[in-house]
This record gives sequence, structure tokens and C-alpha cells, in this order.
Amino acid sequence: MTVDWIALAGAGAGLVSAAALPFLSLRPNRILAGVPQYAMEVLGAGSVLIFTAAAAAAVLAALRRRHSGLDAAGTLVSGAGLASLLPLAGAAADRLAGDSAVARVSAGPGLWLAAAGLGAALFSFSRRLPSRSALRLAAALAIPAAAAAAGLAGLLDDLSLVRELLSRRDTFTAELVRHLALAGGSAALGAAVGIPLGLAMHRRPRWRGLISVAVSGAQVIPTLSLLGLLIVPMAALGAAVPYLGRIGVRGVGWAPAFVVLFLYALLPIAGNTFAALGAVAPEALDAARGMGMSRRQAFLRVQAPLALPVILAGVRTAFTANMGNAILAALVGGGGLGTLVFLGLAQAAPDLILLGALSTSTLALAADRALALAFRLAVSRGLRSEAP
Amino acid sequence: MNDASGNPAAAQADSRRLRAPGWVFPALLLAVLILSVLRFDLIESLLGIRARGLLVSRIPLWELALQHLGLVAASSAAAVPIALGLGIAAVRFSESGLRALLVAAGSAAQTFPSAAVLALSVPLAGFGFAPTFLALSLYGMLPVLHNTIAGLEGVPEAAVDAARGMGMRPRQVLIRVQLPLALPVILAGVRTSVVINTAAATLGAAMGAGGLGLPIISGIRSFDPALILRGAVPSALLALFADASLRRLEDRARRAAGGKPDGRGA
Repeated sequence: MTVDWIALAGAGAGLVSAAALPFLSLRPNRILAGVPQYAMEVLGAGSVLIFTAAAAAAVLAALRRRHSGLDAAGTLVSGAGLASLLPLAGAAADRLAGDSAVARVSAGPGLWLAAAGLGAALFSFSRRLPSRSALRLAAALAIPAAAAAAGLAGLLDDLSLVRELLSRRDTFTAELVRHLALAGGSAALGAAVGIPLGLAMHRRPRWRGLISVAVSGAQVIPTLSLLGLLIVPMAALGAAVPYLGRIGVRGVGWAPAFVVLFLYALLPIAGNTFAALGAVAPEALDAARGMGMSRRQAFLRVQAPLALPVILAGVRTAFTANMGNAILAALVGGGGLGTLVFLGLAQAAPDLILLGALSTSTLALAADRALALAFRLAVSRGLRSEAP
Repeated sequence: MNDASGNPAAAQADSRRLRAPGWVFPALLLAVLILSVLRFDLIESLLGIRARGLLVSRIPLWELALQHLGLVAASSAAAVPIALGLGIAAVRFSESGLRALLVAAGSAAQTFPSAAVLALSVPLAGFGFAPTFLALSLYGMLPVLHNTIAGLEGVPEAAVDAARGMGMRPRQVLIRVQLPLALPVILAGVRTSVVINTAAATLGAAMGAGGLGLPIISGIRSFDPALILRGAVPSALLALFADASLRRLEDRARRAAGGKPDGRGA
């Protein structure tokens, strides 16, 4: 048993920053500069809760040398501290904003660093718990649950981030749907084209060089440059084919963004398909042929199932990356959550930028987890040993 | 992934002959890049278009290209040593949980879009060079960190044992055995980082950092395809050049480490 240095440093840094750095920032309106608000002043008794949790986590981390059972206590304490940060900040924001409809309360460095520190401590403590322990699951669920409950109860309504969301709820939903359609649709098309392309690379050595140069070249060229390079051909395409023009294929808008995202999805999918098919042990194929399977059967019943986990990993990478990259669609008027980011940049409204960025990365993380679970079920049971 | 059997390895070597004629390809890209920056009017007259507007007359293209290059060079120079140090520390002190924490935090940070990192650094650091530099340095650390950890852990246990058996101290083992053997993988991380930063630096124009993104963004706003091309062509060439030349460096390191000339794919 040694001291848990990560948890000790995390909890210590969380304690110091929660106490010494501005916890919240109050702006009389959206444009004026913020006035720093310290935890001890604005949280009242709540600050005691946070300080105690962080201090207790630090002590538990230092005492690990004596009792390994302290990991569970550390998980509990740092998880409770982390889960209470957002509701407490929301309640304080409500008091600070008072009746003013234009006052803005945003998170200060103290809140961010306290969350990061306690998060590191929680991660370090819970990592050593048995992987199926109830406490570990509870800690993972408690933080989003606390945030969601506080949000549904209206406790967070006075935080600037939530105000930005509430004041444009309809646009947000529309951009979210558009973002999902752009990123998901282009990645799905990327899979529909990329998997056969990978298969072709595997089967036809002569095409291999050309395909891999084209596909990896598209990946290297900056997104913005690719978007720019596509404007002229897309405009010409929309003008030349009336049907395409009617459904919105123009130099700007969703079409160039969709094409760029599609090209970006192609590389991981085609590359992984090719690598996966090549990595199937020749002995397995020989055995299949020896059992009297035809080439087609050997491919369908041996090679493809064996290659499937790696192929699906490429699809998952493409979906996750597209969720983030789709933010750039807003630059060419393609919509999506990037609209919020670039609007926030133009209006110098950091919370609007944060709203767009956080929702985008939440989408990316959710897509990653969801596909990991779904694909795990698609893979033959004997090959499922690796964690998703 | 592709070291599995004889057949794909032979195919790899085959595709290599097709796509990698030594330093010729990067050199060619560099020549075209320089030409496009200095004499973009040649490309314009080839296509029969001409960019107008204030931007063209006010800032010469080579100045934008140098701004771009400066941003990428400065941020990579900051990101690579820090990420390398963190990666080495993570592997060396993996008992402490530092490795697990850095890997988890790094993969979570990777889902955060680079455009959002750039946009969020504006309230922290104002407009211009500083926020772009900050965002690119932070974002550029992720692939180097990831590959440093993967590279060091991929060094065969036998090599480390042999070095220890020869009486080397941990520091000597790191510097003389582990790092040289991990170098190809680490360099692949550096390449990814530089390519990502070259792309993200085009977005720096939206934060007031100039660079080759400036004509693209102005061109999109004023719907001037010729102006867009002035930024898009050189920035695409720059990214392709960075990728191709760093790949050559990687191949050299791989040969020096005694591996096969081409082990990419993962």
C-alpha cells in the first residue's frame, strides 16, 4: 500500500482552488465584465460541504498506506463533493442573479479546477474498486444524475450556460437534429462506401496504392481548406443537375459539409476494413477450406466474422470523429451545433461557445459509448474478450 | 495489425513501392507549395479567375503563409516536449495511476472539437496569436502523449531486461533502449499532432490570428471562390508536405530501430 498521490494532488488542488479562486463570476449583463465571487461568500454552508469533502478525500488518499479499504470511503467522499458542486453553484447563482433577468452568473476558475481535482481523485479512488462493485457504478451514475436532477428542478436556471440554452431552446433543438443528421448520415454513407472499398483494397492489390493515397490525402488536408475547395465544384454540381440544386446542393450550406464529413469518415473505415481482412490468420482460412467450404463460405463464415470487431471499431471511430468535426459545417452555413460556437465567438459570449462545445463533445462521447455497446453484441461471442 | 502474416506484409511492401519514392514526393510538394505562395497568380490565370478585395492587396500571401507556419511551429515546439515528458512520466510511474488518469483524460479531451478549444481560448487569452497558440499547444499534446505511452509500452520486455542485465540504470535504459525503440511510434504521434495543428491553424483566422485561413474565411463570407482558393490551395499543400516529410522521418527512425520499413496502420 502506498499513498495515492493522484488522489492526494487532485483533492488538494480542488480544495485550494475552491477556496482561493473565484468560484463564480457575476456580470450585471451579458456584455459587462465579470465580478469574481468566492465560494465562502456565495455558497454559505455549502462551501463547508465542498471543503470538507475535498479535505477528507485528501486525508484518505494520504492514509491509504495503512488501510486499503479506504478506497471505498475515498470514492464516496470525492464523489459526493463532485456531485454537489453543480447544484450548489446553481443555488448560489439564483441568489446572486436575484430578480435581474439580464444578470449572468458563470462558472469561475475555482469551480472548474475544483471539479477537475475532485474528478481526478474520484477516478483514482474508484479505479481500484472491483470492476463490478455497486459503489463504482453508483459513483459513475451519481454525478450526471445529480446534474440532471438539479437541472430538471430548475436549480440551474440562473447559470449563464443554462440561460443561453433556455433563451434559444427551439434553435438549439433544430441545430442538434441537424448536427446529428449531418454527422450520422455522412458517417453511415462512409461505412456504406468504405467497407466495400476496404474489401476492394484487400482483393485487388493493384488498386490499393491509389485508393490509400486518395483516402489518406483527404484526411490530411485541413477541413476548412477542403470545405473551401469544394465550394466551386458543389456550386457547379447544383447548377448542372436541377434535382440536386432543388434539394439544396450549393456551394454553401449542408452539401459541402456533408461531403467533407463523408470523406473524413472514409479513411478509418476503409483502412480498418483492409487491415482487419489482412490480419485474419491464413491458418483459419486454410482450415475452413479444408473443411470443404467454398471461397464464398470461407469469407462469410470465417474471415468476415473474424475481421468484424476491427471493421466496426473503424466505423465507431468515424462516427465519433464526425460528431466533433460537424462543428465546422456552421462555417459554410451548414448548420449544426457549430452555429452556437461561432455565434458565441462573434458575440463574445463564452457561455454560448461552451454550450455548443459541451453539447458536441457529449454527443461524441455518447455516440462512442452507444456504438461500443451495440457493436459488442454484433461480434461473435467467442471474440468478445476485449472490453468495449 | 499488419504484422500478422506474410501475405499482407508483402502487399504492404508492394504498396510502399508505389507510394513512397524516397524524398522526391515531399520535395515536390514543397516546391509546389513555395511556388503557389509566391506566384499564386499563375494558378489564377490557369483557372481563369482572379481574387479581388482588400485582403489581396493589403497582405501578401507569403506573409499569411509565414504566419501560419509560425503558429504551427511555435505550438508544436511547446506541445511536443511537454507531452513527451508527461508520457515518459506516465509510463515510469504507472503504479501511481498517473498513466490511467492521463489516458482517460486524453481520450475524453480528444472528443472535444478542436474548433471549440480554439473558440474557448478567446475569453481566456483575448484575440489574436495568443489564444490560437494556447489552443493548438494543448490540443497538439494529445496524439504525442498517446503515442509516447503506446510506444514505450510496446518496447519488448526482453530488450529492457537485457539492458538491465548489462548493468544500465533506469535512466540509461530509458534513454539508450526504450526511447530509441519507441521513436517511430512517438514520431507518428508528432506527425499527427503537426497535421492536426496545421488544419486547426486555418481556424485561427476566426480568432484573429491571421494565417492561411484568413483568405478562406473572407472568401466564404463574400462568396469569392478565387479568394478561397488563395488560402485553401497553399494550406492543403502545407498539410500534405508536413505529413509526407514527417512520414519519411518516421521510416528512417523505424529502420534505425531495426524494424520493418513500414509498420503503419494502427
